[in-house]
Amino acid sequence: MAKREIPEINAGSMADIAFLLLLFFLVTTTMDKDQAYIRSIPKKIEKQNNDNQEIDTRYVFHIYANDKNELILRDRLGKDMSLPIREKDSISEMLYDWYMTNREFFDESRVSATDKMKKYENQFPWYSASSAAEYKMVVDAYYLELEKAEKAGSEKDIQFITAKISEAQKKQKLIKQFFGSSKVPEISDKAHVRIEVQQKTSYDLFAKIQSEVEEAIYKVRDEECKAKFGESYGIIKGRVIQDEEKYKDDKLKLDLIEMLFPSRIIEVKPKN
Amino acid sequence: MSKFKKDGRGAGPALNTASLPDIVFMLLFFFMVATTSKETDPAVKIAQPEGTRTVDLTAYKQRSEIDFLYLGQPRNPSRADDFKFGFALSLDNVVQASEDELYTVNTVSRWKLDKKAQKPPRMKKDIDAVITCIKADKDAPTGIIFEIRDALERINALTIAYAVKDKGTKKD
Repeated sequence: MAKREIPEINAGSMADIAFLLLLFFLVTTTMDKDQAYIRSIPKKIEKQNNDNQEIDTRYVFHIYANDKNELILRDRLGKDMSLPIREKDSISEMLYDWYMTNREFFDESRVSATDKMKKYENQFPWYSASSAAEYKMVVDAYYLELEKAEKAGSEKDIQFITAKISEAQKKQKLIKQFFGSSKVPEISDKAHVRIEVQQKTSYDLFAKIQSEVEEAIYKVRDEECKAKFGESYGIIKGRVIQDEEKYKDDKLKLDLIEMLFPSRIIEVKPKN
Repeated sequence: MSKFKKDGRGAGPALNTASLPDIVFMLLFFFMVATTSKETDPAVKIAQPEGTRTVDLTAYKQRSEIDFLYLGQPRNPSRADDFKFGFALSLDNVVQASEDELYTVNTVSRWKLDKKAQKPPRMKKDIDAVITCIKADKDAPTGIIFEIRDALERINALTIAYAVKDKGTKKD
């Protein structure tokens, strides 16, 4: 039998098919990334302790936006002032000052008398000098309290104190690892940013406030990161978000930076 | 006599297009890898505000640790009067979708719990580990956002994200 020649398959339409697929994917997909500010909603605290205590204005960075989208901020003397819309961009600088001004005076024993005066005159939060040894004492004190609570058998107290213990232990570990036995400036745990809005405040302004706050926190953290680790905060954070398990060292660095510059943001539910 | 005489026979060899599909496939694969598939178009109109120093949510999306929630004016304007301030919610992948896919704040906690229940066991995460991302319109009143926060607080879904468009670094 004669050998028959196999005819060549015409592949000319292959490209058309591929183009069709390509176009399908082009149409059904998006390239823009989703970007956002991540915040956590505080847990309802069960334990009631000295609730009515008035917090010194120096510990609160107060941002207030009303339903006409006007901003009111508290200035460095503790007075409320309204901020013209075009100066919205300066919030981050004001918050940066709020974080950094008193930081250099953290160690009382090394501050001169004139600097001490400055510290009392301005309206910025105070820092304290913490060390690993100090946190060890805190942990021990909490363990005593825990024993008491266990005897009393109050479930809520036990939970509350256990949470406090693990927090203090974490801080102790971080300071020990990165600073050894030297003292570390730590912002008062009362210090927080307070964002207050009204029902009809636009999301545009709310997002702008969030953006400014994030900008300031990023800046203080980034400076510390570059000084301590020689790397930008954004890069370290990006790696940790990508894979927490793989970049354990970076996670520790991040924990440290977030301990030194905590972002305590309180968003108040609008009443009207 | 013409110098450039054409004699019909010299049409030249056909251009070989055998590698064209390869090129197109390469393009195709690039787009398949570099993009994420679009979620259902929300039933509300959204123009996002801008902000700096945002967090990129891609990593969370890949691990499906994020739920999206849209807040804006309904695309169908006649429905606007049914909602507080004229702003409605649109949720992604609802178990029993309503006809026009518009929702009020009351449905948020149900939606979150349904989404958690739907996931296969190996992907199930703590409800707190799943971020709820609010994509709101520029003009949306913040009051509604706080109502959503309240609903999430009640079911202990305590991580929230405010979506914005990143405008890059801030210029001083």
